[in-house]
Formats: sequence, structure tokens, C-alpha cells
Amino acid sequence: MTSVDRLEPCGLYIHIPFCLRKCSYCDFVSYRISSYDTARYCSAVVREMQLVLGSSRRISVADDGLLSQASIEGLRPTTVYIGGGTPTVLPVEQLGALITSIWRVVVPHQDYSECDIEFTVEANPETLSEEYLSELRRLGVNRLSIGLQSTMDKYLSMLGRPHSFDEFVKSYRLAVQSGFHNISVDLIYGLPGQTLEEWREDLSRVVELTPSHISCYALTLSDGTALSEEVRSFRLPEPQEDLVADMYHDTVSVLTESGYCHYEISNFAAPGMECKHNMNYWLNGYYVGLGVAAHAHLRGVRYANTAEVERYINRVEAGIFMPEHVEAVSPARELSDSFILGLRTARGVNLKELAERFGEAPVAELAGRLERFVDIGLVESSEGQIRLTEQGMILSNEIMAEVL
Amino acid sequence: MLDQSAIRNFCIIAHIDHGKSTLADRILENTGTVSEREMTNQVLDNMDLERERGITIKLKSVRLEYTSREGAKYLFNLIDTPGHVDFSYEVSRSLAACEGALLVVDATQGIEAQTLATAYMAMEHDLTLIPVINKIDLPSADPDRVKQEIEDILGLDASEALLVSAKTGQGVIEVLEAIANRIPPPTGDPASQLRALIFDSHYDSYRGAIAYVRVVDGVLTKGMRIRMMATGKEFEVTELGVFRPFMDHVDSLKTGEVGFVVASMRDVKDCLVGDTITDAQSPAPEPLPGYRRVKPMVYCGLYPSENNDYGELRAALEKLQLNDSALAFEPETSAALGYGFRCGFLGLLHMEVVQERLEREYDLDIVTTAPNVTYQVVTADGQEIEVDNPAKWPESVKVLSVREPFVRVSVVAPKDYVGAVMDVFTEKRGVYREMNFISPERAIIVYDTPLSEILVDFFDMVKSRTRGYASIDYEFDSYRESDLVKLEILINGRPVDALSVIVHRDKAQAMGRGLVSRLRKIIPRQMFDVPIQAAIGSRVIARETIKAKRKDVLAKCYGGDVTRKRKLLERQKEGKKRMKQLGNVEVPQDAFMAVLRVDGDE
Repeated sequence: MTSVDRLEPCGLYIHIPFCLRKCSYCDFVSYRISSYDTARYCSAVVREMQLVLGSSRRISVADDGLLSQASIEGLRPTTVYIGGGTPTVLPVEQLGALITSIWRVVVPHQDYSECDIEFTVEANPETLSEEYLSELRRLGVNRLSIGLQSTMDKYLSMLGRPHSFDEFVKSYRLAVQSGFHNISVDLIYGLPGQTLEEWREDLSRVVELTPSHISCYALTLSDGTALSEEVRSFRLPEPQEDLVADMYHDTVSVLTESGYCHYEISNFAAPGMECKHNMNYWLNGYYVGLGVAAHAHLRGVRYANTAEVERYINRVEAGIFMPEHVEAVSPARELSDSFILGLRTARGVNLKELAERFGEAPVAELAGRLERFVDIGLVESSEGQIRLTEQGMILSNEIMAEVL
Repeated sequence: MLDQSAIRNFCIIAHIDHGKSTLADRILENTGTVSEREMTNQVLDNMDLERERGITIKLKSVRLEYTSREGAKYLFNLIDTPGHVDFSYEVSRSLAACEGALLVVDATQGIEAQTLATAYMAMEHDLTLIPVINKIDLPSADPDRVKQEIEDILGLDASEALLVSAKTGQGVIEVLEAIANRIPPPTGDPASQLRALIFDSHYDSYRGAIAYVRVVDGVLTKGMRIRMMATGKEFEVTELGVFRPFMDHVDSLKTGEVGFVVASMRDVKDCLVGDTITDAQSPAPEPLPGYRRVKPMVYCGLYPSENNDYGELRAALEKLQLNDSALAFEPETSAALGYGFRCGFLGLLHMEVVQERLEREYDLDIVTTAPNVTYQVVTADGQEIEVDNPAKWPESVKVLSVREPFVRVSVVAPKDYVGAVMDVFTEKRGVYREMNFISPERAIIVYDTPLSEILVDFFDMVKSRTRGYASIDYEFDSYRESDLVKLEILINGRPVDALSVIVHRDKAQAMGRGLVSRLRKIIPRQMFDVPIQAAIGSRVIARETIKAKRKDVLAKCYGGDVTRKRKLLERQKEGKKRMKQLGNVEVPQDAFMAVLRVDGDE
């Protein structure tokens, strides 16, 4: 039996694919909550967790050769992230029961209040009542990620958000009062018609609330979403590349001047308040995913569950664990993944660390491909650490495509 | 075997869509050459490309037997002629193999430019022309107007013009009677030394090159040792035959007869169109007149999209050349495009046909540079050089004078569009020759125009400004002096050889501006500012800057879905691979054809 100290840390992600309704820009796997039996879904997630992380600590059904090697033995979850969808759209007793079950598996022999696990729940303002918040706090949730997206109601309605800015402020304050000290606020910029001034106003309104963490995402118009359809048919103006780039650079200067660290392309945190769960993704660490469309990365393999709720529930209830998308990850692939993920962060990639794992030559080869970006100010390199500059981050696709 | 006096050799002259193929089909049916079951659509037109474009690229001949109303037996040879201006030399050789021609004119349309040019050519060869007015079954047919046109413009007696509907078969028997009664038999001397005119050739992978011939004097027999009088090459005849329309072998082809010759010839360069075949043992003193070595008129660079397809492109061009003696190519290297070929063509259609065949039949992805003509440049040291590639243009200080090929262009258009057509010519540096009315409603407008000007969008311009009512024909006229300069394009400060063009000095400014603005739209934003300049010598005449790309980011990496992000980046990388790397600028392959679209867009 491996001793607890020598277990390798990993992340645990749980996907709750339900929302009150779908936002106009959203291409996540999420469904209208009214059409589903959420209690049954939550039980299925617990069942899946027991199959994957339960006492045997071994993936039980592994008729795909890949997965048999991808045992999670030796891994210990150190972060938990319940994302969606909108997890807090679930009745509080369902979400509460799920959280309790998670703690039981993650820290079986310990009181969770005494451990150092980051436990995040994603939430939308319209779902956060005082009772809901205090119940989450009581159950040991120590981090909230609240989707705000804009502080202006005209954009909130363009995005199909079911809340106003005032409602957000109200629930944010309630959350603080309920004892949440680690709250992240999500914003989106580059909206159709949005001006630079409006975006600066968004930033200053959020900074005023002093959350510990702010995520600012440039809008991605994904095919098939209502918003992209509006733009494609010229009913809404297409966001202009130069303006969006200006917004990005403004974001970086406003938030760093307000004391936040720009620690990942789209993420800003008060010192020490970086999201550990997400950092693990960017460090190309291991994680287990539960629920529909959840992704996992284990030794030598990546896999994802089916995106269909019924299919997922039926399989799990039958005791079958069989993800739909399984891919072997070769060492060369792990290395380039480490680059494309690591370069998202301000820390960048450490060549020495990578060389220990993958060998000097392949690491040097990939690093060499980035050299031309140093000359044009997109990449910085010093003492074996390669990172993107502020400019490089907003052009990161160009750079990352080089290391594939 | 029928006597020489029973032979009638003829071809059909017609504008595209005036019904040549349909009439040929009816003739084949009515002479019992092809049964209706075999009568697949338009037997004579069997290449896909031809069918799609409604033109005939390769000519062929068919032997038909006909018994006239009076009971006399005849042997007809129908020789098919190519219907496009690029192949006018081949047309002239086909005409030279005939004694007569059916001049088919659409009863609803009237005479078109190409018909006119070919009809004049047939008259120069002393062919008997039989006017056939087709499509008389259509409600809008106006045969009297068409007859008047034929008389006015061609000076033919149209009173005996035949009224036909090839579609319904009406009047077809009268056509056959007219061929028998009006076209004279061949006049050659059976007793003199062999002279056979090669009017077409074709490459067959089993037999080698096959020559299509008309025996003018003497007899061609199987086993004979023959000599090609222009090239001096000798071969032994292994097969002789005729098409009825399917291959049928014979032991000899006599004076006046038409057929094919197989003689272990390696490719079509061994039996050049227009050459004379004679008996190597007893050669004729003089070849038949009219042979000319065809020279390419239009050149362009062909490059493989992927550099390692160079060998495949060479092999494909070599294969095409087996069957196409007019196609010329030689290796060239472009700083921008790598290793490729400078290819010479008879004209624009020929160029398009070759490009399409390379892509379609050989599955090659090719980058084509803008076409250009051959210039005659007199340099300061008194030398005269031929330049078929802008990259080889001498430095401007060394150019004393330049001559460029002019073509005589005829446009037939309804009278309301005469002004519009003249405007196009003015834009294209045309020099007015003459204008005549074919009928009260339609005029023929003739200009001498630089060939380089009609390469780009001349045909489209004329068609669009006349709503498609105009027809166009052109023939080479002469080399004339012009004030031409080389316009260079610099991307990020580096001249791009494959984008250089030769233009008239007066048009350089507009062309430079147009090209630069076009390229700014085609070339995507890069990681840094990219200036695009047009220059003559060291003088920059137009400049625009492609501003550096500012944003290219996947803002959110969804819930650990790394696979999705990788796929996105892989697509991005794939897209970059299809671009050409010029220095550190990535340029899409479209850019090299930008010059072709400058006028239309600006």
C-alpha cells in the first residue's frame, strides 16, 4: 500500500451540465434544467466517482487497453472543481449531498476542515440566495467562481444572462458575508458593439468589489451559437481585432495596477490567490473528470465522457465505466502539451524540469522553434525559463502552433 | 473500291452552340455510319473537357458512305476542326485537307466572329462553301436575315443556302446531296510520288503517335518506309486505317483518301501537324505548302504547391507533351516559389486546358503565375533578346526599345453595343482598324491590340459589357514597338520575382496601385507590419502596409479539454503549410494570381 505522502496530486473535476437557460455565446455542454431528473444525475456522478476513485482506486472496466494502464492508483486529488453549466442551479440538498460524497472519497480518513484542499463551485448570480451560500460554506466549499460577464445590463441581455448587474452585486456581497474569501469573477470583453470605455467601466466596477480573482475572457464566437449567428447575419457588429487587442492590453494594465497578478492569458489573481485547480491544467498535471463531457488526463492517456446525459446515467447505473473519447498520449505529445499549456501562464515553461522528464534533445528542439518570436518581442527567455510576453499572450495561437 | 471522283472531303465550320456536333451526328446517322443505338451523345466530341466547354479540342475524321438520290455511291470524309482561336494553325491544316466546307449558321443568331474568321480562311484555301442555316425549327429563327448577312459579309450566293434543323433532322438529306453534288472531288495525281498531309495527331499508349492524314498525291501503303519532309525522320508504316467512326484497318490509302497512320512514332513531335509524309524510297521533290512550326504565344510559370511534387509535375508535363506538340516547358527556379516550369502555350484556352488536365487527370496541386507574352527587347549594346519571363527582363537602363506581339481582334456585336466594345479596346490599348455592318443590326469591329492586354480579362469584359451578345476572334498580327516597363512587387522590402509584371508605362501607376491593394487584401496579417510596394526600377510607385496581427488567442481552455485546443492549433498549422514562405512572410497561393484580378476589383 502506497503511503499517502508519496501520492501524486491530481485535480478532480465534476461537470453539472444544467442551466436555467442557455446563454447566447455558450458552446459548453449544458442543457435546460427543467427537462432532466437532476437527482438521478447527481447519484450517477457519485456512482461514477466510486467506480473510478472508490476503495479499489482502480478503474474497474478497462476493456480498452489504454485505460488499463491509466490506473489512477498513486494519485490523490488536491483540488476539486464543480463546474458547468451552473452547479448552483441544482436544489441545494442535491448539490450538498454531492459535495458530502466528494469529501468522503477525497479525504476518507480526515476531517475536511483540516485539510488544504481548494474546493471551487461555479455559480451564477441568480441562483445565490443567502441560504444557498451559507449551506455551501458549511459543506466546506472554500472558493466560488461567479459568472458576471458584463456589468452592463444591455450586454447581459445580449449574452442571454438571466441576471442584472445589481443582482450580481447583491449575491457577491452575500457571498462575502457568508464567509467566502476566495471569490473569482468572470468577465467577457470584445462583445459586439462594446467600446473600450465601456470595458474599462466593467473593470473598474469589478475592481471596486475587490474580489480575490478575476478572469477576463476575449469573446469567442463559436459556430452554432445564437450570438455568432447574430453576427454572421449582420444583426450585430463583428468585434474588431484591433479593438479587442486594445481591450486586452488595457485589462492587463488596469488589473496589474490594481494589485492583481496576470498569471495566465485570461486570469488575474491577488497575490497567492491563483486558482490551483486551473494551474494544474496548465502545468499539464493529472486530473480526473466526472459527469457528462468531463475530461481526464492520467498517465499516458486523455479521455472524456459522453456528452449525453441519458447515455451517461444509463451506463453508470449499470456499473459501466467507459469514456467515449480515449486517446493515448505519447511522451512527445506530453511534451508539446506541456509547452502549449505552460506557455499560457506567466511562469512559462522551465526547460530544465521538462528535460528531466522528456530528455534534453526534444526539449531543446521545441524551444528552438520559439526563438524567432524572441526577436519580435513575443517570447522572453531567461535562465532556462521560456514565457510569453504580454503581447505574446494575445498572439499565443501563432506561437503554440509552432510547437505541435 | 470507289474511284477518286467519288470522294468528298469536307469539314463543318460553325460557332460554338450553332449546332456543329448535332449536325455531324445526324450526318452519321443518315449515312448509316452509326446506328441509333451507338449514337451516344455527339460521337465526335468525346473528351469530357470538350463537352463541358462545348468546344472541340482534338480533331478527328470519319469516313461515311453515301448513296445519292440518283443512285450514285460516294465516299465522304468528314474532318472535324477545332473551334477555338488558339488552334487556328490546326484549323488551317484541317481546311487544307478538304475541298469543301459546310458553313453552319444559327438561324436565330447570325454569323459570329469565329465563323467569319474560319470562313475567310476556307475561302483562302479555295474550299467550296455550302451555307447551312440551322435551327430553323425555333420560333425566333430568321433565315432571311441570316442569308442576307452571308451575302453581305462573305459575298457568297445564299440563294442556295440549305435550311436545316439538325435537331429534328429536317433538311439533312439535302445537306448530304449538296456535299455530293457541289463539293468537287480531290484533284491529286495518283501516279506521282506520295505526298500526304498530316492534319492532326494523337498519342496512344499502345501504338505511339498516330498521324491523321489526307493523301494528296500517290498512294500510302502498309509496310512502306515513310519520311517526314520537315523533320527528315523516317518510319515504317505498321498500320493504316480509317474511322467509321470506329477504327478499321486498310492496306492502303489512295489519292484523295483520309485516314490514320501508325508507324512506331514515339510521340506527336514525330508527326507534326502540317508536315508532309512521302515515300522514303521515292521522295516527292517538294513538300505540301503551309507547314509552320507552331510557337507558343503565352507563357506562365507552373509550380507544385508542395515542393516535393516537382518530379510528379515534370512527369505529367512530359506525358501531356506526348500528345501536344505545341506545349513547351523548361525548368525554372523562382526565389518565391521554388522549383517549377516555365510553360509555353498557343493561347489562353490552351493554357487553361493544360492547367485543368494537370489538376484533374494528374491530381496535382499547382500554383500558376500570371500569364505573359514573349517580348523582343533591344538592349543598349544593340543585342536583341526574346524575353518570355518578367524575371529575365533586363535592368531598365539597359533596355533600348521593346516590341510586343499585337493581335488583330474582331468583335461581332449588336449595334447598340458598338460603343461599349470600343471602350474596352481603348482601355486595352487597342488601335482602331475598321468597323463594318454585317447587317443593319450587327457590326464587326476590328482593332489591333497587344496580346498581353487580352490575356487577362478582355473576354470577360467584352462579354459582360455586351450582355453576352458579342463574339470574339483574334489572330496574330505583328510585333510592334511599345513603351513597356517591368513592374516589381516588394513584400517586406524583398522583390518577389513571381509577382513581377511587364506593363505599359502609362498603365504602370494604376496597375501598381491595384496590385498592392489587392495583395493587401489577400495576404493575411502577420506577426509584424508588412509593407507591400510596387516599384519600377528603384522608384516606388505605390505602397500599402499590412498591419501586424494583434490578436490570435484561445481565451479559455475549457475544463481541461486539451484535445480541442490542439485540434484548433493543428488546423491553424495546416493552413500555414499551404502558404508560401517569402522571407518570413506567409503568402497564400492566390496572391500569385492577384494580377489577373486587379482591373476588375479596383
